[in-house]
Amino acid sequence: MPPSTTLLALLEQEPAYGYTLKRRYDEHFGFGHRLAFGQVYAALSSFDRNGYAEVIGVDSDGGPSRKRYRITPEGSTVVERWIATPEPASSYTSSTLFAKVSVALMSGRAANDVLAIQRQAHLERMRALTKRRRTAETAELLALTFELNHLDADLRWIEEAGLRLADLKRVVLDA
Amino acid sequence: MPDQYTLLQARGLSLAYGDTPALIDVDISLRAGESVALMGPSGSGKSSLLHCIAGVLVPDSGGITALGQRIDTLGEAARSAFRLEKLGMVFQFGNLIPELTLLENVMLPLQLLGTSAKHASARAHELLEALDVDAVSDRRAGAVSGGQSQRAAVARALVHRPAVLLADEPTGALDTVSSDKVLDAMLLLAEELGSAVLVVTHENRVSAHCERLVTLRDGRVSSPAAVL
Repeated sequence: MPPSTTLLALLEQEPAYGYTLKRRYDEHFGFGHRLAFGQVYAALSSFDRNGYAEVIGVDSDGGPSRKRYRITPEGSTVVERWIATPEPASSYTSSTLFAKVSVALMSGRAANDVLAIQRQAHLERMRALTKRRRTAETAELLALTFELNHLDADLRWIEEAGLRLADLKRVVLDA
Repeated sequence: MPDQYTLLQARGLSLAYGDTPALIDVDISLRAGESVALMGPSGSGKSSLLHCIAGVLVPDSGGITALGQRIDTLGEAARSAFRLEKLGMVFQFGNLIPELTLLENVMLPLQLLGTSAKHASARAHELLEALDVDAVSDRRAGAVSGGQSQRAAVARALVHRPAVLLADEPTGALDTVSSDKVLDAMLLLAEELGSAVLVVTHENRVSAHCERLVTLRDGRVSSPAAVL
C-alpha cells in the first residue's frame, strides 16, 4: 500500500509529530512491516510543500527539534478524493509471472518449472499466513485474509496456466 | 518397518478399476499429530487412496500398515472393526443422522464401541463444547446450520480418540469464514489427541492449514510443487 495518502489520512484525525504518525501507521497497517522514519519525514515535507499540511509548532525539549503538523482543507480534499476513488484492478498482462512464463516459452526454457517454483513459494507463504491467522486480531486477520485470497487466485491461475501451456506456446511462438 | 511415530504407512499402492488405473505405486505415511493435505485434480486418485486407507477398498498390490498392523490383508469384518476403533471420518456434508440430535450423533461411535451411555454423553459434550456447538447439542442434526452440523461431524469423528482422522473435503460446503473456524478447531483437537490427519481437498486455502502437502496426479504422487 503506498503510504503517503494513508499518512495524510491519519494526520486528518489529529495533528501529529512525525514519530507519532509513524507509530499510528505501524499500529494500523504495519503488520510486521514497519515504516521507515525517512518515508514519514519525506511524506510530511511533501505535504507541507504541496499545501496539504502545515507546521503548527516546533518543540525541542532539549533534544532535536520536532515539528508538529496539521492537515489543511486542501489535504482533507485529497483524502476525500482518494477514499472515494476505486482502486484499479491489476491486469494479468502486467503480471511478472505471466511475462516470465511467456519468455520461458519463447526461449525454449521450462515454463512448467517457472509455474512450479512460484506455486511452491505461494503455498509456503499461504501456510505461514494461515498459521499467523490463528492468533490474529480482526484488523490483522483481514489483512492476512486479503493476501491469502490473492495468493489463492494466483494459484488458480498457475494451475490453469499449467493446463494451457501448450496452447500458450503456440501463441507466443506464432506472434 | 514404520518408525515409532508413524501411525500409518502405505507402500507401493496400486489399484485399477478394470483396465483403468486409479493408483500407481503410491507411497504415503502419516505421523502422530501431523496434518497432511491431499490434493489433485478430479480423477487423480484422491478418493481411491482415501478409501484404501480407510479399508473400504483393497489395493491390487502394495500394503498399508496402521499402528503396526497390516490392514489391507484383513477380512472385511476386521477392516470394519479397524475403521470403527482407529479411524475418524469427516465428509463434505457431515453425514450426520438427521433424525438424531447432535449429542446422539456424537455419542454413536462410542456406543458402538460399547461405552456406557453416561460416559459417552460426557465425552460427547466435551467435544461439542470444544467445537463450540454444545449449546445446540439437543437439536436434531437436520435442524441446525451447515457450520454447526459440520462441527458436530468433526466431534463425532474425534470422540473416540482415533489414531487417524480422514477428512474428505470437510469444509467444501461452507463459506470461507466458517471453513477456517471448523478447520482450526478440527486440527487443534486432532493435534491435542495426537491423531494424524489426512485432508482431501481441492482448495489451496484448506491445504494451507496442513503442515504437509501430498499431490496426486494421474494416480501417482507428484512433486508438491508440481502444477496440478
